[in-house]
Amino acid sequence: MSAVRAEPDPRYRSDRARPLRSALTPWWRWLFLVPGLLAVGVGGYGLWSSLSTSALGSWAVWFISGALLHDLVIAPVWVGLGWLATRVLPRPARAPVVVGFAVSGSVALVALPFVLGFGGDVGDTSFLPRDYGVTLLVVVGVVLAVSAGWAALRVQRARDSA
Amino acid sequence: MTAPLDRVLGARLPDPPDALRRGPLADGAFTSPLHTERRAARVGVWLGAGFVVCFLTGLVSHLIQEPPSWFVWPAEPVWLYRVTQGTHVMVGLALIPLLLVKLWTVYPQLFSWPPAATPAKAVARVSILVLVGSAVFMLVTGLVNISQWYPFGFGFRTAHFWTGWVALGAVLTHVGAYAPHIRRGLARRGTAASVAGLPAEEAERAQDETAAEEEGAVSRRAFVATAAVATGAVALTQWGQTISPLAQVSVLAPRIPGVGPQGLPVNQTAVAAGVTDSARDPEYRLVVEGPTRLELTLADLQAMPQHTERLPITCVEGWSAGADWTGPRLRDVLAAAGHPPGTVVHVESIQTGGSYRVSTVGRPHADSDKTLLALQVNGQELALDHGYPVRLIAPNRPGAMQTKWLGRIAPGAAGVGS
Repeated sequence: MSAVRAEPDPRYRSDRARPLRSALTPWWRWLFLVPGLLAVGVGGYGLWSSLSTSALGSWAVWFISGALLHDLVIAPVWVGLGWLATRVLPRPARAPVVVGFAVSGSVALVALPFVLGFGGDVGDTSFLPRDYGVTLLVVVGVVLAVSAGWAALRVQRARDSA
Repeated sequence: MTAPLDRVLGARLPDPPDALRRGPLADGAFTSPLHTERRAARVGVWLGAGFVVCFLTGLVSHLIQEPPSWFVWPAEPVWLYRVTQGTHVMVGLALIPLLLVKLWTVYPQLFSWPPAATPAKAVARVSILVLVGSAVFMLVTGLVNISQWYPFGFGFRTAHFWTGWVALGAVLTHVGAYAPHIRRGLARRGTAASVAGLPAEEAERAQDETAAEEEGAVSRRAFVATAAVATGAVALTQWGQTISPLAQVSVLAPRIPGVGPQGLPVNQTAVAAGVTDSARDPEYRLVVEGPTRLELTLADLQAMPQHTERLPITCVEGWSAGADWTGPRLRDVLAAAGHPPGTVVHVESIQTGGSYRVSTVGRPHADSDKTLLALQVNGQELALDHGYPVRLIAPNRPGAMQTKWLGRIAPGAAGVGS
């Protein structure tokens, strides 16, 4: 920015805003924009030409509801938990609890379809060979216990040093 | 851009009444100091790289299953598809927590006020819906698919493939559109590059924001730790289905590489394929079409020279498991039927139910020493679920194309599937 205010750099005599403009519109963005828009076009055309009308309808429902599921359910729940944490937890305890909830939430979300176990062929004993509900509870329990222990330790340390 | 277009896209739209600016729309509704350009850019690098990896490995898998004329997938190294498809599923699973972290970071942008100051801004916001929609779609459909549950009203393979193009394109377009932000976000804090292009007062605010990231109750370090540990936890609990030494650690993975009939997982069972009677029928014959048409009984196949190869079964769902397979070489059987070496053939199952009844064996695999008509696995006669009496096992190929319960082999390509 100093280049804009100070005496014009002789390299930019024809266009004094040049350093600023290059920061706002770097040339390499086209290396992403052009292939990116092309790929979206390819994908859109592929979907349009290979899915039937009813399949496209179902596709649109999944496409939109994925975003809505995050924006209207997952994110508000997480923000709500954060709000609760700022009211309930002492400051040094918050980081360990955030880590604990993020880890157990991620692990649970990924394991959810296996816990539900709607899929799989009849008689396939090699698919979902474990008891996923109980295992998930144990994993989440251990993760939350560790983060609670860590939080207690941090609170104690903060008190000692105060 | 041309001036008239600039005038249209940049026209100031009227703001909605301020009375509507409540709740999350209110100024300062999101109090964490971590909703910053820098956090978004830095998580974004990992997320974007992951999507590129998933796109490329997914493209490979798609080309193998539906090869255009210019595409040849080699038979060697035998483990290559195991690596590409294992990577596809492992990275895809790890992206789930990363995407959530990234979306949290930019969540306040969803409530930015005014909702769209210009038509250009409105277009930009709709394009974000394409980005988020396609990214979530890819991860959710991929995850639901590996749970073998198909609640979609569309074919998984087709929709996941084409939406993958949309997702990759949306990621690239996003990087291009946010190039200045990303450039600032990735620059070292405190440097001129980290505020490049910002007017003085905004540059100052950005530097204050960066300093505040360190001071929050949940600091920048805690944020990075959260993203890393959550991603690592998903990896630890899932990746063992692909990386067998992790098998006992990955307590939430849908497969254990050594678990299944004869120590090997199964995807399609004999019951689902409807072959429990036909596969055991004493009248069973394997028909090989060709200049010399063959009708082989199981005893005929057993009487041919037997070879043993160690080859993995690599499921498109990401798990894989190695085994010792024994049987005559496909090459020898094709030669006996009068086919010249390297003839492209397709194999058909006797199954009446399920999916993937047919697969095409391209030139490299038809000609490979390692491609067997397997009669045994790990020294035992094939279990019914593994394709008794005879299945195809070829190196470096998706499991869906290792056709079980073979009934017919004929020259020419016939795609893959039903």
